[in-house]
Amino acid sequence: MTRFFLTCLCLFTLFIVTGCDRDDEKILDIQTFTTPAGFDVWFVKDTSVPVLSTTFLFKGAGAVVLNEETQGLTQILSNMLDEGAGELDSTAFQKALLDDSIQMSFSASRDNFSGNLKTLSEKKERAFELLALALTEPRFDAEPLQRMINANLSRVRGNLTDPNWIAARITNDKAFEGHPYRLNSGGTLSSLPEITVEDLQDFTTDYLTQDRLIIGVAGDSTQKELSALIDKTFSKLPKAGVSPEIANIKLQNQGQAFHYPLDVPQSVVTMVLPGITRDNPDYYAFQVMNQIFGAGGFGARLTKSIREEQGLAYGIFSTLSRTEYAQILFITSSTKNESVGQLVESVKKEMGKIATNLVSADEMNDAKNYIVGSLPLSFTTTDAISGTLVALQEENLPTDYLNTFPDSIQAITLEDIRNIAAKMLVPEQIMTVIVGDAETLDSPVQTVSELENVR
Amino acid sequence: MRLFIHIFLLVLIISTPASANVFNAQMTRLDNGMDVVVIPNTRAPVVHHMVWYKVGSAQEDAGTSGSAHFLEHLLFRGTDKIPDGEFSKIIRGLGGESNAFTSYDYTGYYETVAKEHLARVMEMEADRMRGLTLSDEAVLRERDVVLEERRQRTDNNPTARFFEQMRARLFPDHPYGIPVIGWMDELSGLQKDNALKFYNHYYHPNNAVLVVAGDIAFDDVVKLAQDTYGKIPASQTDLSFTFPTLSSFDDLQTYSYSDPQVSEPLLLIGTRAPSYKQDPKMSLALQVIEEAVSGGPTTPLYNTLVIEQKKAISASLSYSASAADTASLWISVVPVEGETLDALTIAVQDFLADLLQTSLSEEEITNAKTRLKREAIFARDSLRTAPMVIGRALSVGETLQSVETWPEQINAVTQDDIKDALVFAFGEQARQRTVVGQMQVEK
Repeated sequence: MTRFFLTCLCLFTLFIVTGCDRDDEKILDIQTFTTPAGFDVWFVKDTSVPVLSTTFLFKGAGAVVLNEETQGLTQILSNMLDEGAGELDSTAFQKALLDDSIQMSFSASRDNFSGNLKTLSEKKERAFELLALALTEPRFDAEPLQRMINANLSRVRGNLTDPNWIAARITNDKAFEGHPYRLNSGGTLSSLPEITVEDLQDFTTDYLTQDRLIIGVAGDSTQKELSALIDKTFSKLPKAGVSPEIANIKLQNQGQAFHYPLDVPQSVVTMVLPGITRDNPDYYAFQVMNQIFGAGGFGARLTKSIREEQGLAYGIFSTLSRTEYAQILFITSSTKNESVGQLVESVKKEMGKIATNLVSADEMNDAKNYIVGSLPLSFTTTDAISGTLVALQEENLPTDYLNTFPDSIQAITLEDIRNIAAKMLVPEQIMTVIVGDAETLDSPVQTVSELENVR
Repeated sequence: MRLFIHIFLLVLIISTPASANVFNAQMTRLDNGMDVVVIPNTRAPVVHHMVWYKVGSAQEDAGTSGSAHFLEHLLFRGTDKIPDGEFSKIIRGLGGESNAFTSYDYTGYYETVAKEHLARVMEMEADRMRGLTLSDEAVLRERDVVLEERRQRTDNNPTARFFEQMRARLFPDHPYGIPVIGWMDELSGLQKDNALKFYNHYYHPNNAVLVVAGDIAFDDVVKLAQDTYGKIPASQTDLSFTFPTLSSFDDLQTYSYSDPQVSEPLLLIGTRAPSYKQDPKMSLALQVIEEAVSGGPTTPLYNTLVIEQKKAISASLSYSASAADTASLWISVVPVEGETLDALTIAVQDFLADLLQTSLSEEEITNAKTRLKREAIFARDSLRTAPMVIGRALSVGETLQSVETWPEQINAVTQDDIKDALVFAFGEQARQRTVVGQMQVEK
């Protein structure tokens, strides 16, 4: 589960780190065009290396549309699409990819189903031909299906004693109690073996549809070439699919603490708070505040207090998770079992400080400079660029967003930072999850003895 | 889709890619002996700056395991010019990223920043090459941090503990058998003096390599380097180091590991093999073998054990060529439910015996070489790959030329080279360099 959790976070991270310190220069020279068949494409041309990276995403086709019985289906689908299509069985398809060094991957998050196609530009025709096959004529043969189910069962069994995975599992179960987000998008020991070819076919028809598709491309190609390749690849997908009604959910179990006893020397600690949406007017103030408080580790107050001054942990991060139906802010760390209480109290103390006292102007400026200045650092691979192009579209942001963003950040004041901290960093609202052999915990905790959505 | 086990990535970092000149890097040496390498990359107005010290955990004194890595942490804890805790903050304030890493043979520090900040970063990195000032308090707190790091990476993770024990058995009485992070009992007793002794002996310009990649001219970097690192005098001390000789085992070593936290079994077979530095010819052949045998789900290892025999969930072979001393080759296989590790061990041994008998076909070899050569192109699609690959090569004693001409060298591997390497890695004699490890779920 951790892995899928992290997948969501990665996309979102692209947005924390946004901005530009050159007013006259575009961070990314984004071209947009519509193909003859009607697909909108965002493209950054870069011919410095003869490679091409294409990222595509089916919005809303995530694990959130599954239920207890079918959890894990999108995970298996992401494993199965490159396991044989058209005339090519699993081995023939994989050999075709390998022979031309074409990297095709799919991934399933809670909200979306996405994929990436990375190829040498000289192999792009073949790469898109294979992608078209994978998306429109997947075989879902019995042999690879069983193999993928077995591999995922093995992964789940291997995770059963991993404190980080357990902490993520309980966090989802408790934070989103009553909502599909509580489920295990990686599948459970009982749900995975029940996944059938029909399930995969139905999901593909219902959800991998043109109306959900978002495309971003970076690298060595042209609009003309891409138009033809994209139309050939995606035109055969169903025009539209189903859209189940899913409700938003607020953070559940606020003020509660959960402990899962596990015989390990170090406890994993997760503290969860209600988050914030992008369209909230305080969103940029939050970003600057969180940069100072704990995002990104080094240079942040949490790292200074917990790691540098007290030596309590190797890392501590405060991260906003913005998914379609929920926003949470979570603080994650791990510390030797006997220090859990001290770590939790120290985090609360830092919350209180930033919510009460103004930060210094230097601290604020450093945070703004980092948020704005670090943006180009991530645009040094075609995969990162095509991924960003998709993430921007997924959020309905304009192509010049990366250039206008810095002004929104620079406008934030010391008071804005304190106000948003006071609004969001409320100790009484924290939901805490501790996994490990923690001995003395000050506040009352509920013991979790059986993990849900695992077996 | 195949599910690989990535535990090796803790210590080893991808196989080295490289065309005629893969990265077009330029190199010079400052008067004080510090190597300077510049790799052009104009994609973004960003530079990736790295300083590599040719020293790692392998050079630690007996009983002080973990000191090289501990020192790496301490380099963020202050100099006369930059107080404790400020280094990372300053880089952040410049909109940059910084971090560091330690391995057996090298320790690296890096910063990624907008190119206009390169001078500032070089000044800061040069300052801490010799200017470290440590308070006792900072040292003790940082030791606590490193203890937490060990708990997080190793003590909380059964696979990491198993792997640590496997390396100890594959490299007995050799520094490569000691974990980089250090054994818990030694790590917890490390003092400021352990780290400082290491620092004062090894952190000098004539034991370091500067690698800068990005949108910047070679001459400009050299000038900046002369003004910063160039001002630091070379050490007059002999910095050479000799590795202990590894002796052969009497026969194949076996090791069984279990603890209550193991929840999925794993078969791990480790074999000592020459590094590129020790034996380029055999190392290149092993790189081709790795790709041909385990490059994907249709190559023989996965295809045989997972698809045809249905005995394994996953199967992979990895060989990392880059080491100052002896390298190693690892086969890692997860059994399907109901398959015993003993039976799986026999299946893997049969597979290897078969491979030894029939070798690889001309087609398998050609295809593997083609894929490896393409990797050199993909490697250029990242600002950070080239400095990583080149810095590591120079740190372990390889040359820039060896990286830049890697595709040609791969191309020159012959069918006979492959046969020799297969005999070395999997023949009868190899039993004396091999450990078979089984991680079992406790009954």
